[in-house]
Amino acid sequence: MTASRRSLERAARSEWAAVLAVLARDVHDLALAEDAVQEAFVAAMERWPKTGAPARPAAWLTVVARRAALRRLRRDRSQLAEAEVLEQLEDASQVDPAQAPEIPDARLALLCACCHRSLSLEAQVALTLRTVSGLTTREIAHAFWTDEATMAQRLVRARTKVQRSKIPFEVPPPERIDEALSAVLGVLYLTFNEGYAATGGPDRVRIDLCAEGVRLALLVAELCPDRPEALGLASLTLAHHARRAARVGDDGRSVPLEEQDRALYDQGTIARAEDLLRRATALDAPGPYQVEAAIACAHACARSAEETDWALIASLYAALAVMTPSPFVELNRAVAVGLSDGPDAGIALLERLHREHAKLTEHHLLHSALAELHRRAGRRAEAHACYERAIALAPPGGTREDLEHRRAGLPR
Amino acid sequence: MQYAVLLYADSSLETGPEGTEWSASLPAHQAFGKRLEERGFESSGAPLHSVRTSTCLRIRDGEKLITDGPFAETKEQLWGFYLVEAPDLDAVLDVTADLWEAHHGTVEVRPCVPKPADA
Repeated sequence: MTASRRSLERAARSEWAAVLAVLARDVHDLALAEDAVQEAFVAAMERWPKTGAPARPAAWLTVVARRAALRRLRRDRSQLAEAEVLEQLEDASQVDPAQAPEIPDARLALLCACCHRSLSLEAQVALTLRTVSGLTTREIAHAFWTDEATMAQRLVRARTKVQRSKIPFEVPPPERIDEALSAVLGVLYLTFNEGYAATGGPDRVRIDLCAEGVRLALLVAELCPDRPEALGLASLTLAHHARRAARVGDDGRSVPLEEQDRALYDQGTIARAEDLLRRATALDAPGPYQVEAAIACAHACARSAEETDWALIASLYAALAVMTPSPFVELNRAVAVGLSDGPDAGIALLERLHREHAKLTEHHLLHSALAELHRRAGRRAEAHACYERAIALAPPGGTREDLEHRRAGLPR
Repeated sequence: MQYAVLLYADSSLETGPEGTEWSASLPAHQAFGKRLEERGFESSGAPLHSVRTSTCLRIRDGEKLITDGPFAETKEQLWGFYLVEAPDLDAVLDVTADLWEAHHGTVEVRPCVPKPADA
């Protein structure tokens, strides 16, 4: 493949969501819209190497996709297209693709449709990755450790529901935009975390899903520059992503924060994360994503584990606990307190959590946190016992191996 | 686009005018009718009598079987329905949010298959 062809493919791919967003709105059928856009991309790959890319690639692709959609609708009468839809498509197809005006940006509307609350959360995630990111069904299936047939079926069901129940391809009106946007951010947060935590399989960090989460979060931040939580989520994902090279050791084992090689942190990405967080906080409407972003930035900015501002992080977790009460947030706060005010202060908080939250009592994270703080306090026997408990409770695989590794690293 | 708005509430509740919830739910239904009118959404529908008044009919191998009671014993019973003409799902979810059943039971919204003439 020649360099110019590759750059043409890149140019085309970057327009995928923009073109699909317009087509989906036109025909109100994601499956048909995808097929039509796919056809337009194939046509572009045939034409563009000969003629050069048009001045407005998205506009060109949109007209060609509209023609493809129209052909498919006429061919397959069972599609039950409304006469109005056909008429509008006919009009919009008359334009010369090379002369077509710039298309309006409908990507936010597309995101709102994909992340509509009437779809199950897993359907929302799958649909967003397929439709907005343009990942293949196979790629999405791999990312969620499921087989391609299951994922294909999930996508078909989701698209059918969008079409049949007529989920709108419009940016919701002001009174509903907050709710819709919070659903979109929730889906992106989940996507990023799924990639970051890599719960279901052998590789601990699936960079692709993280990278896709970052890309989508940046897109939403770009589309909604006056939404502090949108900026906050973008900052949060970038700050975590900046540490990706340091998170996994040569042996494939995940490297705990205090042992990470800070020289591997991506400073340019950290600067972007901080800039987004500054812009978010300037809008003066705090929210959980901004607080999590502040925590992630505090970790990414620390020159060494010792120089981490644990007092700041503890106060941020306290703020987060007020916004989104959760025993896991309390647990993180306790660890931060332990690292800022001394291990025993943290252990006292952890023991209280142990008593008050049945959910945590049986969770490996509580016991590994206790183990870590006992280790720092120089109490080897207690640390060993807590690691034992954590290992017994941890899911088999990477997490358990990491804990065994840490237990083995205790001083004799 | 036509949607069926199916209203469910606890099976132990008495439906119809003799039930105590009838008068409680009535203002919300009147307000609902007004909202639909304001937005120009056409609608029809009816409240239903209790599931105890229900009759089921099955014909198998030419044999007619008529039974007393609902199709399935469930925790929630269907106690009314609307057919609403609306531009999209959000519009329906919007107008149904204040229905008594949304707060005390469940409102199920389902798209109707369009009549062939609409196609």
